[in-house]
Amino acid sequence: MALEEEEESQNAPFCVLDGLFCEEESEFHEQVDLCDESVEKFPFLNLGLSDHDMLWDDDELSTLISKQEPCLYDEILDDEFLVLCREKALDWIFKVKSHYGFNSLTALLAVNYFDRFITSRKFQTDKPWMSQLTALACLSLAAKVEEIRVPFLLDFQVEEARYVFEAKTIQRMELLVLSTLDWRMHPVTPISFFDHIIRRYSFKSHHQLEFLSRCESLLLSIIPDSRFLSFSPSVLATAIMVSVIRDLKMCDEAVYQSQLMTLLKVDSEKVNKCYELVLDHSPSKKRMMNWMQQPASPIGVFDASFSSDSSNESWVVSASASVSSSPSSEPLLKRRRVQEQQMRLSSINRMFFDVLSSSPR
Amino acid sequence: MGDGSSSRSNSSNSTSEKPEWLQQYNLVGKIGEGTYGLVFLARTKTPPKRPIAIKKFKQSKDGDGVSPTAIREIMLLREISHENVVKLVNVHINFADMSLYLAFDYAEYDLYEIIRHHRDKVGHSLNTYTVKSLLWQLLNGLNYLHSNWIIHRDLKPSNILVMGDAEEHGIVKIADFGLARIYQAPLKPLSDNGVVVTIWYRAPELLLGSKHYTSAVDMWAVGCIFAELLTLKPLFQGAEAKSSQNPFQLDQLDKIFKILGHPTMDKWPTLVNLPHWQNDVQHIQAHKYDSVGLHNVVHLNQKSPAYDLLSKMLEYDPLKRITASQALEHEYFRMDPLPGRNAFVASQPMEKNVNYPTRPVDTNTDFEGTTSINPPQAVAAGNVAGNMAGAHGMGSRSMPRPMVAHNMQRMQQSQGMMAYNFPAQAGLNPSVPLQQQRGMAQPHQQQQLRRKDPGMGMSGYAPPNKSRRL
Repeated sequence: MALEEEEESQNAPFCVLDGLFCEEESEFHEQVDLCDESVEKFPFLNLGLSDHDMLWDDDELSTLISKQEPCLYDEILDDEFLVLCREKALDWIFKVKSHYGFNSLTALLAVNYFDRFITSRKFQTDKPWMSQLTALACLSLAAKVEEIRVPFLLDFQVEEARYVFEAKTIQRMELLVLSTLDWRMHPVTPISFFDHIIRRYSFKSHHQLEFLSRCESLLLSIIPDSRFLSFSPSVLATAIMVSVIRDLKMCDEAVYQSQLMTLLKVDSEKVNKCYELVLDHSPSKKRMMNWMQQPASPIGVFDASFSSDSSNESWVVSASASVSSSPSSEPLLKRRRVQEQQMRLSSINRMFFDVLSSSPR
Repeated sequence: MGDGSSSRSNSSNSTSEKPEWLQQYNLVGKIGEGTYGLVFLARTKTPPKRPIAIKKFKQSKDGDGVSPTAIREIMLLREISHENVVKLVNVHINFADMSLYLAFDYAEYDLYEIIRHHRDKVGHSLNTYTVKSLLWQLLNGLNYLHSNWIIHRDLKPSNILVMGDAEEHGIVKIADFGLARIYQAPLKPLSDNGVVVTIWYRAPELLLGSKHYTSAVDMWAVGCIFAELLTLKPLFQGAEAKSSQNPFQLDQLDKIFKILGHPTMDKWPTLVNLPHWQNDVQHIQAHKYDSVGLHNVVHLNQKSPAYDLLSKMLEYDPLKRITASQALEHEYFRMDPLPGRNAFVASQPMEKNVNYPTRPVDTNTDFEGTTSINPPQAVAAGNVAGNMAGAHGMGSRSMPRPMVAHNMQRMQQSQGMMAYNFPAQAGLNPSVPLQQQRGMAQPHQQQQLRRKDPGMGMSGYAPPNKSRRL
């Protein structure tokens, strides 16, 4: 009931914006109804929004674009061992994400930290437990940066971890990761661009949530493939958004892609290459299975390398001694997740009004 | 004064040894103690010998790892650079006990002490130029933060520093970013149980249970600070109810409504959506509010630009509240006296300058935070320091915590933040000194079971003894 009232009170600014869009659009070109629910809408600088607010948007976008870190991941792509480490680490990270109901940005931050750390000099490939400890520290740090409630360090070690670490060991690794990454823990990610585009284009409210959810899901499903490391967040975001637009049949994906590439200042060749890779992952499971079969042999090598370093396991505590599950905290965290989802729904409805009114410029 | 050597603990178990990174500093003494740890004054040994505030982050409770507050403060300060924001010079890590030390440019003054000095010693208000300059610089720094999508979330006089050294004399520095948040993705609620801003400076939407922080919560706090600079006492001095996690604070709201009047739906359309407006409206209505009027409390002409600016900062509706950017364009800053870079001394002084006392320095507390048997004595000028020394609670700890320095390397500022060279065997494996260290560790009962930002609330009307200061 309260949500409905809130939605009604918030409809006014949307109606005004929609009206402005319709009026402007009819003046510039024919309307082409590509789908029933919504027509493609592109705001222009003279659209009726004040220069003040529009400049704020452009300023934010240019900041995001310029703050992207250069791609330094050739090391991973050229190293089969690192690719395998990464694959296993990300698989574990996503399992723990589901277990505790972390949001997508938390998982994405953890992956970012992991990738930056394993390409630094601090990552020691001769220690089989180093990869798991790194993943553990990175996920813990990401949760501290992004989540509201964070599990104990020991409680992170769920989902069939091969090694179990003491809390102090994890804390030392946390400090090592933090100092190695120079305490830069808030990188620009594709999600930054998803959020910006949603605020910029006036999709209808229920499409906003679905659009964002699909973009995030697709993003998390493809980043275990190390080939995507060669694309910048803006390129990756563009390819993903075009793919989701196509799946949702919201409008002409080609036109939308052109608009996005202009807006995000990305190279069309890179976007197309990235888009092809995204398609490789989405359409059928057969391609997925083919891709999964390729690392069959290296996995064997991976297992062998684990068993050959049994002497290093002496300092690892036994599972029964240190792992303490907290079943009571799980329902709370998952209940929290549901509440957040509901809050997001209401906050999305207020999104444009908030952005326009609370512009800091 | 040039001594700078740190005192050693008397404990027989002490194996304390100066960590390598500490060699570059001459320690002077303890200058403060906050929620998260001690603050020390030091000076760099290499010229120019500038004063440095070293803030130590206490060890988190076992099992929690690195403090989220430390992570946020450091990661945000690494991203920003502005004249009116405190500068993080270096980060030092002691891997032996996994404590963190943040080195800041030292600021001699803060607004809390300046206001208190005027209230207790000078006997009259700050001059117009100083108030305007302090506010102007605070807004400049805040506009920079908000332009970078950072909400401070704990603005209060003790977190607004003012520099004392010759180069930057009178320059305002916003400090303490442990509760700050990036709000780059406004789709997500930034809810930390709603209890974040110190209660006297907490915006009404937060008191009524809003889950969505905006930069407007910082502007409400600035309005409270502005009024406090004018009247020398907190504007809304409510008592915080700590019994529950309920963000609703009737007494604080009571203090606000008595001055600004009761909020209404037509002036604040989204008021009905706030959780505690519906739940507690009966409770609120039971109180009668004879609106004193803001102009009567701050003694400003209602038609003056100063009053207009203040009332726009203390607008109930966060969507209508003035922004930092808009405030900087306000007429108040365009009329004489124009604000200046040195908040204390105008380029053409019109009034006599006030000399503020320097911070008391406790030279009896060693770097570990232990106090020797001798009673603490502040080392500063005469009567003022003597009186203020009594106001600072010098708590002594029952058990010394010697610092065991292992695997430490100096981080050179000139070379940027170097990654720590980390020998795996020595670092990752539990070492014997660590075992001894654990046995002597202080209990941290105040730590939460799960990571939650503790509220910085105050109880009663007395200012806090352990006000967090750099």
